[in-house]
Amino acid sequence: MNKHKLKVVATVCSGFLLTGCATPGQSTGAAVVGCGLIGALTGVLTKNTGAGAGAGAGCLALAGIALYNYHTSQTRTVQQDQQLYGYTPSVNSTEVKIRNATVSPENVRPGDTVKSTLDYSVMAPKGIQIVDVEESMVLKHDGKVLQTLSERPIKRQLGGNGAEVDFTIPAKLSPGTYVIEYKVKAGTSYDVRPAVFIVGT
Amino acid sequence: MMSVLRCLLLALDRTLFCYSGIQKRCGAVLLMPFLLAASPSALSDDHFSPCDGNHQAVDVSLQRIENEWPMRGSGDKVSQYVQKLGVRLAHFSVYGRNIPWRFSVVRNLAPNAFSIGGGYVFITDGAVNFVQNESELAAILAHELGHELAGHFCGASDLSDTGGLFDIFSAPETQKHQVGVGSMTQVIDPVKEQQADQIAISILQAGGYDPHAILEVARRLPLGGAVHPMDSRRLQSLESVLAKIPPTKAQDSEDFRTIKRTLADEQSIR
Repeated sequence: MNKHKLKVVATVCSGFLLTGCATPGQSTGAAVVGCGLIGALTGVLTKNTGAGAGAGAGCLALAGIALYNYHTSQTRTVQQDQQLYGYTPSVNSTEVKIRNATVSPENVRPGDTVKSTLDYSVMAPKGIQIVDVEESMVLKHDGKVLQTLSERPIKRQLGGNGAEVDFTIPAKLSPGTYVIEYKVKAGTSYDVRPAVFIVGT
Repeated sequence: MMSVLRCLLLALDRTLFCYSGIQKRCGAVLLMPFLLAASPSALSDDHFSPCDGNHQAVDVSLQRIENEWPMRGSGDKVSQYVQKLGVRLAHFSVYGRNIPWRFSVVRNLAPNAFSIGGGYVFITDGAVNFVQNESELAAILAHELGHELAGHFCGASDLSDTGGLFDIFSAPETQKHQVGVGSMTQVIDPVKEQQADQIAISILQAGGYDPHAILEVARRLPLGGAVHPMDSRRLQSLESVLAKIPPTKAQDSEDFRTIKRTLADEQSIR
Protein backbone atom coordinates (compact mmCIF):
# COMPACT_ATOMS: atom_id res chain seq x y z
CA MET A 1 0.00 0.00 0.00
CA ASN A 2 1.53 3.33 -0.92
CA LYS A 3 1.84 6.19 1.48
CA HIS A 4 -0.29 8.51 -0.61
CA LYS A 5 -3.38 6.37 -0.22
CA LEU A 6 -2.77 6.08 3.46
CA LYS A 7 -2.57 9.85 3.88
CA VAL A 8 -5.81 10.35 1.97
CA VAL A 9 -7.70 7.84 4.05
CA ALA A 10 -6.32 9.18 7.30
CA THR A 11 -7.04 12.79 6.35
CA VAL A 12 -10.63 12.10 5.32
CA CYS A 13 -11.39 10.12 8.42
CA SER A 14 -9.65 12.57 10.72
CA GLY A 15 -11.60 15.45 9.25
CA PHE A 16 -14.84 13.67 9.98
CA LEU A 17 -13.83 12.85 13.49
CA LEU A 18 -12.51 16.28 14.34
CA THR A 19 -15.87 17.65 13.31
CA GLY A 20 -17.52 15.07 15.52
CA CYS A 21 -15.31 15.85 18.47
CA ALA A 22 -16.08 19.56 18.22
CA THR A 23 -19.82 19.09 18.24
CA PRO A 24 -21.40 19.68 21.65
CA GLY A 25 -23.23 16.60 22.89
CA GLN A 26 -21.43 14.30 20.52
CA SER A 27 -21.46 10.82 21.99
CA THR A 28 -18.14 9.63 23.25
CA GLY A 29 -18.82 6.12 22.08
CA ALA A 30 -19.39 7.12 18.47
CA ALA A 31 -16.25 9.18 18.33
CA VAL A 32 -14.21 6.46 19.95
CA VAL A 33 -15.51 3.89 17.50
CA GLY A 34 -14.63 6.27 14.72
CA CYS A 35 -11.14 6.70 16.06
CA GLY A 36 -10.84 2.98 16.39
CA LEU A 37 -11.82 2.62 12.77
CA ILE A 38 -9.07 4.96 11.71
CA GLY A 39 -6.60 2.94 13.70
CA ALA A 40 -7.85 -0.34 12.33
CA LEU A 41 -7.98 0.93 8.77
CA THR A 42 -4.54 2.46 8.95
CA GLY A 43 -3.23 -0.75 10.41
CA VAL A 44 -4.72 -2.74 7.56
CA LEU A 45 -3.40 -0.35 4.94
CA THR A 46 0.10 -0.40 6.34
CA LYS A 47 0.02 -4.00 7.56
CA ASN A 48 1.44 -2.52 10.73
CA THR A 49 -0.63 -2.63 13.87
CA GLY A 50 1.57 -0.07 15.58
CA ALA A 51 0.93 2.49 12.88
CA GLY A 52 -2.78 1.86 13.15
CA ALA A 53 -2.65 2.48 16.83
CA GLY A 54 -0.86 5.78 16.37
CA ALA A 55 -3.32 7.03 13.79
CA GLY A 56 -6.27 6.03 15.90
CA ALA A 57 -5.11 7.74 19.03
CA GLY A 58 -4.70 11.32 17.95
CA CYS A 59 -8.36 12.24 17.81
CA LEU A 60 -9.35 11.22 21.32
CA ALA A 61 -9.90 14.63 22.82
CA LEU A 62 -13.29 14.17 24.45
CA ALA A 63 -13.93 15.08 28.09
CA GLY A 64 -10.65 16.85 28.26
CA ILE A 65 -8.03 14.16 27.80
CA ALA A 66 -6.26 13.54 24.53
CA LEU A 67 -3.91 10.67 23.96
CA TYR A 68 -0.76 10.97 21.91
CA ASN A 69 2.44 9.05 21.25
CA TYR A 70 0.55 5.79 21.25
CA HIS A 71 3.05 2.98 20.75
CA THR A 72 2.35 -0.70 20.66
CA SER A 73 4.90 -3.46 20.38
CA GLN A 74 5.65 -7.04 21.14
CA THR A 75 7.75 -6.93 24.29
CA ARG A 76 8.50 -10.64 24.68
CA THR A 77 8.50 -13.59 22.34
CA VAL A 78 6.22 -16.44 23.23
CA GLN A 79 9.20 -18.40 24.56
CA GLN A 80 10.37 -15.47 26.69
CA ASP A 81 6.88 -14.94 28.00
CA GLN A 82 6.45 -18.60 28.89
CA GLN A 83 9.79 -18.61 30.67
CA LEU A 84 9.08 -15.40 32.57
CA TYR A 85 5.58 -16.31 33.71
CA GLY A 86 5.97 -20.05 33.87
CA TYR A 87 3.01 -21.08 31.79
CA THR A 88 2.97 -24.07 29.50
CA PRO A 89 2.92 -23.83 25.72
CA SER A 90 0.05 -26.24 25.17
CA VAL A 91 -2.75 -23.77 25.70
CA ASN A 92 -6.05 -25.16 24.44
CA SER A 93 -7.87 -21.87 24.21
CA THR A 94 -6.98 -18.25 23.60
CA GLU A 95 -6.18 -16.40 26.79
CA VAL A 96 -5.07 -12.87 27.61
CA LYS A 97 -3.66 -11.86 30.95
CA ILE A 98 -2.50 -8.41 32.01
CA ARG A 99 0.89 -8.55 33.70
CA ASN A 100 1.34 -4.89 34.47
CA ALA A 101 -0.47 -1.59 34.06
CA THR A 102 0.91 1.70 35.30
CA VAL A 103 0.45 5.44 35.17
CA SER A 104 3.55 7.52 35.77
CA PRO A 105 3.92 9.78 37.63
CA GLU A 106 1.14 8.93 40.06
CA ASN A 107 0.89 12.43 41.53
CA VAL A 108 0.22 15.07 38.90
CA ARG A 109 -1.08 18.59 38.35
CA PRO A 110 -3.02 20.07 35.45
CA GLY A 111 -0.70 20.51 32.49
CA ASP A 112 1.54 17.60 33.45
CA THR A 113 2.24 14.87 30.94
CA VAL A 114 1.51 11.36 32.09
CA LYS A 115 2.80 8.13 30.62
CA SER A 116 0.51 5.15 30.73
CA THR A 117 1.82 1.65 30.08
CA LEU A 118 0.16 -1.69 29.65
CA ASP A 119 1.84 -5.08 29.45
CA TYR A 120 0.04 -8.35 28.86
CA SER A 121 0.45 -11.90 27.64
CA VAL A 122 -1.37 -13.39 24.69
CA MET A 123 -1.67 -17.17 24.67
CA ALA A 124 -3.27 -19.34 22.04
CA PRO A 125 -3.42 -22.95 20.87
CA LYS A 126 -0.63 -24.40 18.77
CA GLY A 127 -0.62 -23.20 15.18
CA ILE A 128 -2.03 -19.76 15.92
CA GLN A 129 0.49 -16.93 15.63
CA ILE A 130 -1.69 -13.84 15.53
CA VAL A 131 -4.67 -13.13 17.76
CA ASP A 132 -7.35 -10.46 17.40
CA VAL A 133 -7.30 -8.46 20.62
CA GLU A 134 -9.46 -5.56 21.77
CA GLU A 135 -7.62 -3.07 23.95
CA SER A 136 -9.32 -0.31 25.85
CA MET A 137 -8.58 2.37 28.40
CA VAL A 138 -11.33 3.95 30.46
CA LEU A 139 -10.93 6.93 32.80
CA LYS A 140 -12.90 6.61 36.03
CA HIS A 141 -13.47 8.88 39.00
CA ASP A 142 -15.45 7.93 42.11
CA GLY A 143 -16.40 4.65 40.42
CA LYS A 144 -17.98 6.39 37.44
CA VAL A 145 -16.77 6.31 33.86
CA LEU A 146 -15.65 9.78 32.79
CA GLN A 147 -14.27 8.94 29.39
CA THR A 148 -13.35 6.02 27.20
CA LEU A 149 -9.84 7.06 26.28
CA SER A 150 -9.22 4.32 23.78
CA GLU A 151 -11.08 1.32 22.46
CA ARG A 152 -9.83 -0.48 19.44
CA PRO A 153 -9.09 -3.85 17.85
CA ILE A 154 -5.53 -4.83 17.20
CA LYS A 155 -3.76 -7.90 15.92
CA ARG A 156 -1.23 -9.18 18.40
CA GLN A 157 1.46 -11.81 18.24
CA LEU A 158 1.66 -14.47 20.91
CA GLY A 159 3.84 -13.65 23.89
CA GLY A 160 4.25 -10.37 25.73
CA ASN A 161 2.69 -7.27 24.26
CA GLY A 162 2.84 -3.69 25.38
CA ALA A 163 1.15 -0.37 24.78
CA GLU A 164 2.45 3.03 25.84
CA VAL A 165 0.57 6.26 25.56
CA ASP A 166 1.06 9.81 26.81
CA PHE A 167 -1.62 12.25 27.80
CA THR A 168 -1.75 15.69 29.37
CA ILE A 169 -3.80 16.40 32.45
CA PRO A 170 -6.31 19.06 31.40
CA ALA A 171 -6.86 22.19 33.46
CA LYS A 172 -10.53 21.37 34.02
CA LEU A 173 -9.83 18.02 35.67
CA SER A 174 -10.79 18.44 39.33
CA PRO A 175 -8.30 17.47 42.01
CA GLY A 176 -8.77 13.95 43.26
CA THR A 177 -8.01 10.32 42.64
CA TYR A 178 -8.54 8.93 39.16
CA VAL A 179 -8.37 5.42 37.82
CA ILE A 180 -7.43 4.31 34.36
CA GLU A 181 -8.96 0.91 33.81
CA TYR A 182 -7.16 -1.12 31.17
CA LYS A 183 -8.95 -3.96 29.47
CA VAL A 184 -7.79 -6.52 26.97
CA LYS A 185 -10.02 -9.12 25.37
CA ALA A 186 -9.40 -11.99 22.97
CA GLY A 187 -12.13 -14.47 22.20
CA THR A 188 -14.03 -15.02 25.43
CA SER A 189 -11.01 -14.31 27.61
CA TYR A 190 -10.51 -10.83 28.98
CA ASP A 191 -8.59 -9.11 31.75
CA VAL A 192 -8.96 -5.83 33.57
CA ARG A 193 -6.38 -3.89 35.58
CA PRO A 194 -6.66 -0.45 37.17
CA ALA A 195 -3.88 2.11 37.54
CA VAL A 196 -4.34 5.08 39.84
CA PHE A 197 -3.15 8.67 39.60
CA ILE A 198 -3.85 11.63 41.83
CA VAL A 199 -4.47 15.11 40.51
CA GLY A 200 -3.38 17.83 42.92
CA THR A 201 -4.01 21.53 42.82
CA MET B 1 -6.82 -42.81 64.61
CA MET B 2 -7.18 -39.55 62.74
CA SER B 3 -7.26 -41.23 59.36
CA VAL B 4 -9.92 -43.65 60.57
CA LEU B 5 -12.03 -40.76 61.76
CA ARG B 6 -11.59 -38.96 58.48
CA CYS B 7 -12.70 -42.03 56.59
CA LEU B 8 -15.73 -42.32 58.84
CA LEU B 9 -16.56 -38.66 58.41
CA LEU B 10 -16.15 -38.87 54.66
CA ALA B 11 -18.26 -42.02 54.52
CA LEU B 12 -20.92 -40.29 56.58
CA ASP B 13 -20.95 -37.34 54.22
CA ARG B 14 -21.25 -39.53 51.19
CA THR B 15 -24.02 -41.47 52.88
CA LEU B 16 -25.93 -38.28 53.48
CA PHE B 17 -25.48 -36.97 49.97
CA CYS B 18 -25.43 -39.99 47.74
CA TYR B 19 -28.51 -41.69 49.09
CA SER B 20 -31.80 -40.58 50.45
CA GLY B 21 -34.04 -42.13 53.04
CA ILE B 22 -34.80 -41.94 56.72
CA GLN B 23 -32.67 -44.94 57.64
CA LYS B 24 -29.52 -43.36 56.29
CA ARG B 25 -30.22 -40.07 58.01
CA CYS B 26 -30.82 -41.88 61.30
CA GLY B 27 -27.49 -43.62 60.84
CA ALA B 28 -25.82 -40.30 60.38
CA VAL B 29 -27.41 -38.87 63.48
CA LEU B 30 -26.25 -41.84 65.50
CA LEU B 31 -22.68 -41.62 64.21
CA MET B 32 -22.28 -37.89 64.55
CA PRO B 33 -21.96 -37.58 68.36
CA PHE B 34 -19.31 -40.28 68.29
CA LEU B 35 -17.32 -38.47 65.67
CA LEU B 36 -17.59 -35.13 67.40
CA ALA B 37 -16.71 -36.53 70.78
CA ALA B 38 -13.89 -38.72 69.58
CA SER B 39 -12.03 -36.04 67.72
CA PRO B 40 -13.10 -32.44 68.15
CA SER B 41 -9.90 -31.36 66.43
CA ALA B 42 -10.88 -33.16 63.27
CA LEU B 43 -13.75 -30.78 62.69
CA SER B 44 -11.75 -27.68 63.53
CA ASP B 45 -8.78 -28.65 61.39
CA ASP B 46 -8.52 -26.03 58.68
CA HIS B 47 -6.46 -28.33 56.52
CA PHE B 48 -8.79 -31.28 56.76
CA SER B 49 -8.84 -33.03 53.41
CA PRO B 50 -9.78 -36.46 52.15
CA CYS B 51 -6.72 -36.52 49.93
CA ASP B 52 -3.60 -35.84 51.96
CA GLY B 53 -1.45 -37.01 49.09
CA ASN B 54 -2.70 -34.74 46.36
CA HIS B 55 -1.48 -31.36 47.65
CA GLN B 56 1.27 -31.34 45.06
CA ALA B 57 -1.16 -31.92 42.20
CA VAL B 58 -3.41 -29.13 43.49
CA ASP B 59 -0.45 -26.77 43.84
CA VAL B 60 0.67 -27.48 40.27
CA SER B 61 -2.85 -26.84 38.95
CA LEU B 62 -3.15 -23.66 40.98
CA GLN B 63 0.17 -22.36 39.73
CA ARG B 64 -0.84 -22.98 36.13
CA ILE B 65 -4.16 -21.23 36.59
CA GLU B 66 -2.56 -18.22 38.27
CA ASN B 67 0.01 -17.96 35.50
CA GLU B 68 -2.43 -18.29 32.62
CA TRP B 69 -5.94 -17.24 33.49
CA PRO B 70 -7.12 -13.70 34.12
CA MET B 71 -8.87 -13.77 37.49
CA ARG B 72 -11.04 -11.42 39.48
CA GLY B 73 -9.26 -10.40 42.69
CA SER B 74 -10.41 -11.66 46.06
CA GLY B 75 -11.62 -8.16 46.92
CA ASP B 76 -13.83 -7.99 43.85
CA LYS B 77 -17.57 -7.86 44.61
CA VAL B 78 -18.40 -10.75 42.30
CA SER B 79 -15.63 -12.85 43.84
CA GLN B 80 -16.77 -12.04 47.36
CA TYR B 81 -20.35 -13.00 46.57
CA VAL B 82 -19.37 -16.29 44.91
CA GLN B 83 -17.09 -17.13 47.85
CA LYS B 84 -19.89 -16.41 50.30
CA LEU B 85 -22.43 -18.46 48.37
CA GLY B 86 -20.02 -21.36 47.89
CA VAL B 87 -19.08 -21.52 51.57
CA ARG B 88 -22.74 -21.31 52.53
CA LEU B 89 -23.52 -24.29 50.30
CA ALA B 90 -20.54 -26.24 51.64
CA HIS B 91 -21.81 -25.84 55.17
CA PHE B 92 -24.80 -27.99 54.32
CA SER B 93 -22.36 -30.88 54.18
CA VAL B 94 -20.81 -32.14 57.41
CA TYR B 95 -17.57 -32.89 55.67
CA GLY B 96 -17.77 -29.76 53.55
CA ARG B 97 -17.55 -27.57 56.65
CA ASN B 98 -14.01 -28.72 57.20
CA ILE B 99 -12.56 -27.91 53.82
CA PRO B 100 -10.92 -24.51 53.35
CA TRP B 101 -12.99 -23.61 50.29
CA ARG B 102 -11.68 -21.03 47.89
CA PHE B 103 -14.00 -19.97 45.12
CA SER B 104 -12.49 -17.85 42.38
CA VAL B 105 -14.00 -16.11 39.38
CA VAL B 106 -12.23 -16.35 36.03
CA ARG B 107 -12.55 -13.46 33.62
CA ASN B 108 -13.94 -15.43 30.73
CA LEU B 109 -17.28 -14.92 29.02
CA ALA B 110 -17.73 -18.60 28.14
CA PRO B 111 -19.84 -20.35 30.77
CA ASN B 112 -17.71 -22.78 32.72
CA ALA B 113 -16.97 -24.00 36.22
CA PHE B 114 -14.19 -26.23 37.47
CA SER B 115 -12.81 -27.77 40.59
CA ILE B 116 -9.23 -28.93 41.00
CA GLY B 117 -9.25 -30.50 44.46
CA GLY B 118 -8.08 -29.06 47.76
CA GLY B 119 -11.27 -27.01 48.01
CA TYR B 120 -10.46 -24.85 44.98
CA VAL B 121 -13.40 -24.10 42.73
CA PHE B 122 -13.36 -21.83 39.69
CA ILE B 123 -16.33 -20.31 37.90
CA THR B 124 -16.30 -17.96 34.95
CA ASP B 125 -18.07 -14.63 34.51
CA GLY B 126 -19.83 -16.37 31.64
CA ALA B 127 -21.36 -18.91 34.01
CA VAL B 128 -22.62 -16.17 36.33
CA ASN B 129 -24.09 -14.41 33.29
CA PHE B 130 -25.57 -17.69 32.06
CA VAL B 131 -27.68 -18.44 35.14
CA GLN B 132 -31.19 -17.07 35.34
CA ASN B 133 -31.56 -17.24 39.09
CA GLU B 134 -29.59 -17.86 42.27
CA SER B 135 -30.62 -21.52 42.48
CA GLU B 136 -28.99 -22.13 39.12
CA LEU B 137 -25.76 -20.52 40.29
CA ALA B 138 -25.95 -22.54 43.50
CA ALA B 139 -26.47 -25.66 41.37
CA ILE B 140 -23.28 -25.05 39.42
CA LEU B 141 -21.23 -24.46 42.57
CA ALA B 142 -22.85 -27.40 44.35
CA HIS B 143 -21.92 -29.67 41.45
CA GLU B 144 -18.29 -28.62 41.83
CA LEU B 145 -18.51 -29.12 45.59
CA GLY B 146 -19.85 -32.56 44.77
CA HIS B 147 -16.66 -33.57 43.01
CA GLU B 148 -14.64 -32.60 46.04
CA LEU B 149 -17.00 -34.17 48.56
CA ALA B 150 -17.14 -37.39 46.59
CA GLY B 151 -13.35 -37.62 46.76
CA HIS B 152 -12.89 -37.49 43.00
CA PHE B 153 -9.45 -35.93 43.40
CA CYS B 154 -8.14 -38.49 45.83
CA GLY B 155 -5.20 -40.64 44.89
CA ALA B 156 -3.94 -38.33 42.21
CA SER B 157 -0.25 -37.64 42.17
CA ASP B 158 -0.23 -35.23 39.26
CA LEU B 159 -2.47 -33.43 36.82
CA SER B 160 -2.74 -36.29 34.40
CA ASP B 161 -4.15 -38.44 37.18
CA THR B 162 -6.75 -35.95 38.32
CA GLY B 163 -7.61 -34.85 34.86
CA GLY B 164 -6.89 -31.44 36.31
CA LEU B 165 -10.44 -30.28 36.32
CA PHE B 166 -13.99 -31.37 36.70
CA ASP B 167 -16.33 -29.24 34.72
CA ILE B 168 -20.09 -29.01 35.09
CA PHE B 169 -20.60 -27.83 31.56
CA SER B 170 -18.97 -30.73 29.81
CA ALA B 171 -20.91 -33.76 28.79
CA PRO B 172 -20.66 -37.02 30.64
CA GLU B 173 -20.26 -39.16 27.57
CA THR B 174 -20.74 -42.86 27.84
CA GLN B 175 -16.99 -43.29 28.08
CA LYS B 176 -14.32 -41.37 29.87
CA HIS B 177 -12.77 -38.74 27.62
CA GLN B 178 -10.51 -35.72 27.81
CA VAL B 179 -10.97 -32.11 26.81
CA GLY B 180 -8.61 -29.17 27.07
CA VAL B 181 -9.20 -26.04 29.07
CA GLY B 182 -6.39 -23.53 28.92
CA SER B 183 -3.31 -25.70 29.25
CA MET B 184 -5.17 -28.05 31.57
CA THR B 185 -6.58 -31.38 30.60
CA GLN B 186 -9.93 -32.37 31.91
CA VAL B 187 -11.22 -35.90 32.21
CA ILE B 188 -14.96 -36.30 31.85
CA ASP B 189 -16.12 -39.38 33.67
CA PRO B 190 -19.88 -40.02 33.38
CA VAL B 191 -20.05 -41.88 36.69
CA LYS B 192 -18.31 -39.07 38.58
CA GLU B 193 -20.46 -36.42 36.91
CA GLN B 194 -23.61 -38.19 38.02
CA GLN B 195 -22.24 -38.55 41.55
CA ALA B 196 -21.49 -34.82 41.64
CA ASP B 197 -24.99 -34.11 40.34
CA GLN B 198 -26.56 -36.20 43.10
CA ILE B 199 -24.53 -34.50 45.80
CA ALA B 200 -25.43 -31.13 44.30
CA ILE B 201 -29.13 -31.96 44.46
CA SER B 202 -28.82 -32.84 48.15
CA ILE B 203 -26.96 -29.62 48.89
CA LEU B 204 -29.53 -27.56 47.02
CA GLN B 205 -32.36 -29.18 48.96
CA ALA B 206 -30.61 -28.63 52.29
CA GLY B 207 -29.85 -25.01 51.41
CA GLY B 208 -33.40 -24.11 50.40
CA TYR B 209 -32.52 -23.72 46.73
CA ASP B 210 -34.53 -25.29 43.96
CA PRO B 211 -32.88 -28.66 43.19
CA HIS B 212 -34.48 -28.61 39.74
CA ALA B 213 -32.19 -25.69 38.91
CA ILE B 214 -29.40 -28.09 38.01
CA LEU B 215 -31.66 -29.63 35.38
CA GLU B 216 -32.61 -26.21 34.05
CA VAL B 217 -28.95 -25.32 33.62
CA ALA B 218 -28.28 -28.64 31.88
CA ARG B 219 -31.29 -28.23 29.57
CA ARG B 220 -30.16 -24.84 28.32
CA LEU B 221 -26.81 -26.20 27.23
CA PRO B 222 -26.84 -27.36 23.62
CA LEU B 223 -27.26 -31.08 23.17
CA GLY B 224 -24.23 -32.41 21.34
CA GLY B 225 -22.89 -28.89 20.87
CA ALA B 226 -19.28 -28.31 20.06
CA VAL B 227 -18.39 -26.08 22.97
CA HIS B 228 -20.26 -27.53 25.91
CA PRO B 229 -22.12 -30.57 24.69
CA MET B 230 -24.66 -31.96 27.12
CA ASP B 231 -25.23 -35.67 26.81
CA SER B 232 -28.86 -36.74 26.77
CA ARG B 233 -28.09 -39.52 29.24
CA ARG B 234 -27.11 -37.00 31.87
CA LEU B 235 -30.35 -35.14 31.32
CA GLN B 236 -32.32 -38.38 31.63
CA SER B 237 -30.44 -39.24 34.81
CA LEU B 238 -31.21 -35.83 36.31
CA GLU B 239 -34.85 -36.03 35.25
CA SER B 240 -35.16 -39.44 36.83
CA VAL B 241 -33.70 -38.33 40.16
CA LEU B 242 -35.62 -35.07 40.26
CA ALA B 243 -38.95 -36.69 39.38
CA LYS B 244 -39.17 -37.75 43.03
CA ILE B 245 -38.28 -34.32 44.38
CA PRO B 246 -40.75 -31.44 44.30
CA PRO B 247 -39.47 -28.07 43.06
CA THR B 248 -38.70 -25.43 45.67
CA LYS B 249 -39.68 -21.81 45.29
CA ALA B 250 -36.49 -19.97 46.09
CA GLN B 251 -36.12 -16.21 45.92
CA ASP B 252 -32.98 -14.59 44.64
CA SER B 253 -31.01 -12.71 47.28
CA GLU B 254 -30.34 -9.00 46.94
CA ASP B 255 -26.64 -9.84 46.68
CA PHE B 256 -27.32 -12.05 43.67
CA ARG B 257 -29.34 -9.35 41.94
CA THR B 258 -26.59 -6.81 42.63
CA ILE B 259 -23.94 -9.09 41.13
CA LYS B 260 -26.03 -9.69 38.02
CA ARG B 261 -26.44 -5.94 37.59
CA THR B 262 -22.72 -5.39 38.14
CA LEU B 263 -21.80 -7.88 35.44
CA ALA B 264 -24.37 -6.47 33.04
CA ASP B 265 -22.99 -2.96 33.61
CA GLU B 266 -19.45 -4.15 33.06
CA GLN B 267 -20.40 -5.82 29.80
CA SER B 268 -22.28 -2.78 28.57
CA ILE B 269 -19.22 -0.60 29.17
CA ARG B 270 -17.15 -3.07 27.22
